[in-house]
Formats: sequence, C-alpha cells, structure tokens
Amino acid sequence: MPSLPFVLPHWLYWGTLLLFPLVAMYFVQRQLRRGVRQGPSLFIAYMFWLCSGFMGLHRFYLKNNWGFVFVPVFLLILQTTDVIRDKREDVSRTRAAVGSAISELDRAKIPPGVPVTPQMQERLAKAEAAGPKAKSDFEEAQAALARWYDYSRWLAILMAVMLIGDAILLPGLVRRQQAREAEQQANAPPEIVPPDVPAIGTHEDPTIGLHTRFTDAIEWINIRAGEFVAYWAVISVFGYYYEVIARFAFNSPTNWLHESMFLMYGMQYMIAGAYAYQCDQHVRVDVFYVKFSTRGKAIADIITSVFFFIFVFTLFFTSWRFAMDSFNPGGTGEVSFTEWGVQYWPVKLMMPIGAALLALQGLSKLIKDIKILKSGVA
Amino acid sequence: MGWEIDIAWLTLLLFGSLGVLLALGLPMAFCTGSLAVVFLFLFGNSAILNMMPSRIFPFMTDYQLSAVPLFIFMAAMLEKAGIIEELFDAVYKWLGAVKGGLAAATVLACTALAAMVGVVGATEVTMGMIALPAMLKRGYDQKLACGSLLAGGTLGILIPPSVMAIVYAVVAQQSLGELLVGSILPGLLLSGLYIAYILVRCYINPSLGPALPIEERVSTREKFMLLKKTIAPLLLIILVLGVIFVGIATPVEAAGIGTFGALFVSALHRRLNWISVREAAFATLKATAMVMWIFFGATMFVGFFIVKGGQTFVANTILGTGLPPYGILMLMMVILFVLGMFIDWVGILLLTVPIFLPIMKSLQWDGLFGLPGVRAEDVPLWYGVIFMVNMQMAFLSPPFGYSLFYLKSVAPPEITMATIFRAAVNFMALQWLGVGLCILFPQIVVWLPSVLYAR
Repeated sequence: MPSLPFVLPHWLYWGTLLLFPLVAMYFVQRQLRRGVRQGPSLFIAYMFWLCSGFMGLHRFYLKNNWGFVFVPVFLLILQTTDVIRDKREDVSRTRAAVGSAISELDRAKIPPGVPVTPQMQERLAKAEAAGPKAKSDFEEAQAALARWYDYSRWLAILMAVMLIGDAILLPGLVRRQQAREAEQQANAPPEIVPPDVPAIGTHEDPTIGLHTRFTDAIEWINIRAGEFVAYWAVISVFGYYYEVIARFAFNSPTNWLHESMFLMYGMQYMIAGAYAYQCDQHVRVDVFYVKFSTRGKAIADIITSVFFFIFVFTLFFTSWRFAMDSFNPGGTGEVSFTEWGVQYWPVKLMMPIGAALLALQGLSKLIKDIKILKSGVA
Repeated sequence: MGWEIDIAWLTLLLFGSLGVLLALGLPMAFCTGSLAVVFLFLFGNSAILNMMPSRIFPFMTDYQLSAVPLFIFMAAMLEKAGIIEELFDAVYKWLGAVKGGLAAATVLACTALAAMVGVVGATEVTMGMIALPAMLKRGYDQKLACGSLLAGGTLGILIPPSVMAIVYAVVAQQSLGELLVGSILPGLLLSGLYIAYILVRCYINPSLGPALPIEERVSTREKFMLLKKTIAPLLLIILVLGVIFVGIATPVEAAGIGTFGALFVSALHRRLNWISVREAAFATLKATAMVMWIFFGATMFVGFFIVKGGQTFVANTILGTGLPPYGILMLMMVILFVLGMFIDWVGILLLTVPIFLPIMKSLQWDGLFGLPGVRAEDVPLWYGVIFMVNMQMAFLSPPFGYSLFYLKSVAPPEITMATIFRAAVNFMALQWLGVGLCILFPQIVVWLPSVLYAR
C-alpha cells in the first residue's frame, strides 16, 4: 500500500471547524423542511463506500452479502503491511551491517611498515570474509522487501478495481434495495420510536419557559453557539477513524490528528457551558431546592447569582489576559510545541468568549428571576 | 487580602459555604468555582486569581478527556438506532420460560447495553419504557421489576466504556486502559449478583416473577432468528472492548471507531439522517458540558484546599482516628455513600479523589483474613474501581439518586416514588456486597489488567 504523508494544513483545520457546522445546519434545515425519506439513501451508501468500502460496509448497508468478498482482501492488505514493516526493518538492519563490515575492513587493513602479527592477519581475513556475506544479506533483504511491495501493489490494485466497480454499481443497488424495503415496510407493523427524554436535571428551574424579548435574544445566541460547536463531534468521529485506518492499512500514523481533535473539544467545552446553562443541564443538589415555591426559587437564584457572577467575571478577565498573552510572542502568535505547530490563540480566545456567553446567560436568568418576583407568583 | 486562619476552621468554612450554596440550588460547577475565587481572594491576593485560566487550560488540551464526548455520542447514536428495544426483545424471548426470566433478561440486556454506552440515563429510560410494562403485565412484583431496572441501568457507568473511568483516570493520572479493563470483572460480578438474586427469589416464590405462559413462548428456531438481529451490536461490543483489550489503539481511538460503528449500526436500522445526528450531537454537548464545567470549577476548589494544607489536615484527622487501613477504607466508603445521597458522581469524584487517593497510597494493604493484599503500585487502580462500584449506589440512594428519577419519569402512574425507593434498597445491599467483595478480594480488580498489560 502507498503511504499517506498527508499533514492537515492549518488553514484547512480552521476552515473545516468553521464550515462544517454551517453545512450541517443547512442539511438539517433542508431535511426538516422536506422530511426524512425512508429506506437506504444514496448519499449514505457513498459515504460508507468512501470511508469503509474496503471492508465492504457499503454492501452490508444495502443488506447485500457480496460485501464479504472485500473482507479477505482487506485482511491480506493488513497482513502485507505488517510484513512490509518487518522487512523494512530487515533492510535497515542489514544495511547497517554492510556499513559496519566496511569500516571493520578499513580498520583491519595492515598499515605499511608495521610488523605483521598473526592476530592482525586473522582479523583481516575475517573482515574480508564478512563483507560479501553482509552485502548478500542486504541484497536479499532488499529483494524480499521489493517482492512484498509488489504483492501489496497488486492487492491495492485489486481493491481499487473492486471499489471503482462498486462505485458504478451503487446507484442501481440502492434503487433495488429501496424498492425491496418499501415493499416490506408496507406489510410491517408500526415500530416503537424511542422518545426523547432529557438526560439530566429534574427541571426545577422556574425560569424555563419564561420569555422576554431581550432574554430570548441572548438565548438565541447561546443556542446557536451551542449548535455550532455540537456538530464538531461528527468531525471527530471521522478524524479518529482516519487515524486508525492510516496507521493500520497505510502504515502512516499522523502527527496532527490527536492534537487537532483534543483542541477542538477543548474549544467545545468552553462554548458549551452557556448552552448547557440555558437548558438547565448543570447539575445542582435538588434536595432542598425542589421544596421551594416558585417565588422561593427565584429568590434563591437571585442570591446565588452573586456568586455565579463572581466566578464568570473572574474567569472572563483572567482568561482575557491569558488569551491576549498568547497573541504576539515573537511576531506570529503562540503555537503548540508539537511538530504540527498549530496556532494556540484561537483555543485560548475561546475561554473569555465562553465566559462572556455564560455571563450573558446568567444575566438572562437573573432578569427572568426578577420578573417572577415582580409578577407576584407565590 | 491575605487573611490567615486555622486549617480546621478553614475546612469547616469552605465546605460549610459549599453546602449552603448547593442547598440554595446553584449548580455544582459554579458553587465550587465561585467559592474558589472568593477564598483565593480572601486568603491569598488578587494576583493569585490569574492562575485560574492556567488551571483550566490543561483540561481543554487533555487527550484522554476527548473520550468523554466520543463515548457519549456513541451511546446517543445507538439509542437513536433503536437497539435497546431489539436487545431486550431478543433476551426476554430467550429467557421467557424461566421463572423471573423477564427481570433477569432486563439485567442481562442492561449489561450488554452497558458494554456499549458509558452513561446512565438513556438505557434506564428506554428500558423502563419497554421492560417495566412488559413485566407488570405478566404479574411481576412491582419492587422486583423496578429494582432490576434501577440496578441494571446503573451498570452503564461501570462496565466499560465508562465516562466515570475516564474522569477518574484524568484526575488520578492513572492509565485509562487499565481502569477500563479492571472494571469489567466487578461489573460482571454485580450483574451476576443481581441475576442470581432475582432468580433465587423467584424460584422460592414464583408469584414474584412467573414464567411466561406456554403460548407466549417462542420456538427454538425463532430464538435463533432473533439472534441474527443482535449480531451488529455484539460485533460493536467486541470491536470496542477488543481494541481496548488488545491495546492496538488507545481508548480514545477505540471510542472514535466505536462511534463510527455506531453510525453504521444506526444506518443499518435506517435511522441515520441529519436530524438524528443533530439530536445526538446536542445530547452529547449537554452531557459533556455538565461534566467539564464541574471539572473547571472543582479543580480550582480542591486546588485551593490542597495548597492551604487541607489534604494533610484530612489525612491527619483520618489517620488520627487510629483505625487500621481497612477501617479507614470502610470509613471512606461510608463517606462516599453519604455524599452519594446528595451529590452527583462527577462532583464527588473531583472533590474526594484528590484528597482520599494520597491517603490510600500512604497505607499498607496486606489483605484481610490472610487473603492476598494489594501491591503499592496497584492501589490507584484498585481504589478507582472500588470507587466506581460505590458510585453505583449514588444513583440508587434516596433522596437524590438519578436512576430513581429516570425510572419515575417513565413508570406507569400506579408505581409510586415510595415503591421505587423501596425497590432500590435490596439492590443497594447487593452493591454493598459488591464493594465488600472487591475490597476483600482485590484480585477481582487487578487480575485482568495485570494479565493483559503484563505488569
């Protein structure tokens, strides 16, 4: 198999983080408008063909057992990459042996004008004999490596032919499977759809469901910001998948993927704080709080909001300075210490932004709590 | 401001004000964060506050932590794919002829699901919706039915992949792979205890859980047809756990491929579309943000406490009681249990592990009653798994146990909260038994990691 020397350029990384959520939002809106079509879809079939066609997953997706043909070819490819790794080591080991044989020969040469001892002669003879042996070992190892490269090239070509063939067949396969499933659907009993139950919280927040124009604007911002970073999770699925495949099938682990992914998640955690607060997902100890009246909860919220604001404002101002410090050390802004050397300032900038969004959300909650008090609800 | 105060009073003041703020309903993350800020200012100076972002930033760039959103995303996708219903359907038809079979099937299906998801919640809720009506319709005892759901659903956070293991690994600087592997046997032990308990009780008193009537049982042929449906989820379990076991990829990468597998399973069920991806991404975001912000707040809080000598103070106080090591461990377990009645596991973990783990490490563990002890280098792993088993009870212990509320939210109206509370008690006793067994026989925890990681 060829190796994958691809290193993600920084502009592409930041570009993907900015564009992918927008693309996803567009598709979600489109699907919400048009409704979801039943049965297999050509888009998903091609996606699995592209990402995991070498294991035949696109065929399995269409409930087509010919996918099993791909499995042995793929296993053979894995096997050859493994052997090639060994053979490469053999080549470098024997090459080193040739080098040391040559230098040993140099050292064993008897300089003119020095009395010849039997030991010196013996050493010279040994070095002269070792040279050709090392050389033939080296050539053998090289030949073996070339042979295995050859096998793997043929396997790769076979796989490519199979995949290209399927790329052409795929639309027809999807159409036939769609027809088959539509027929089954007509006879099948209606299925139970799992309902959406919020994962956390006992929903005691009295301000949920209360609206004013200003707070709605704040919450709109936080929901959009949350939605934007939520889609990054999808990127990471494909990212890690790429890393594992690159390592095992192509023998080329990346030096950028892990860093790009954990930095992405780091930014996500920061931005998501405000969104989670908006939907009351930050756990609280509800033992006493649930017993309060709506008015009592509002009063408690207003008291504790003092502490909330102390926290977020301190976070905002300290991390603002922290982020500003990363902007210009040495002219180009701080970069990570790894080989990939990606810019750090956007990551650090997310800290004050996240704190600011959280502060806005806290303000929105405070306004609503005051509104509850004013309205005189018991 | 630079105030000085005796550490005993500081401890009281710090945790007292934490208690008050928590009781007033401020979320945990903000309670700990704001108190850390206030105390740092009062007992240090305003310049110290600048350490705040540099304490938080390492968590934003932590490699292991990215497994948290990945595993949650995987669970969310699988749940949208409807595999929970399918698994239960298959298992309960297999066990239909057994007395108490439905309840045992519930625990068994939950165990299998726990090997795919790392959180409690979705499993509990969905199983509650399908298994509880199924059991009640066939005349199962209400308490037994509820108890099997409560205990089974909570296994999700113990059997790997588990979000709790990831958080512990990051806090304790412990190998995540070892923790995940180490929690497998205790998880299966608990699951086995639940099933044994259910079967024994139903065998003694069949009216608690009658077997399915003959006409509802399915033929052997049909049973094997049902197995076909469970192949994809089972392959996914083998994939994720296998990758972690063999160690060919890191747990984070295992989470990545597992999530890709979950996308495929959901595509097979024809449930993969943009809308379900969006819902799963939102669910992931909420759960992750909750965990991470407690991280951000609690790390400051505990950091302040430790810098002021709080860790030494707690250690001296606990060691000063003159209890033997295993007595101290039991005391810790009781403290964790009591905390679990009120606080969520993330908070308990972040607040207690940095304080308790150094105490654990400083003691000798020679084993009880002549049984083999624990080697010094295994103590963080051992304590981590005991902690995780203990936290199972935090989900079940009233007044504030998540599993109780999840079940109540989907239970039919004739099941009262009091029934659910009482149902939890017997299974909590089994969980105490599980904790005790893991303490008494540390091999349950450390044996599998020592074999796989050749230590």
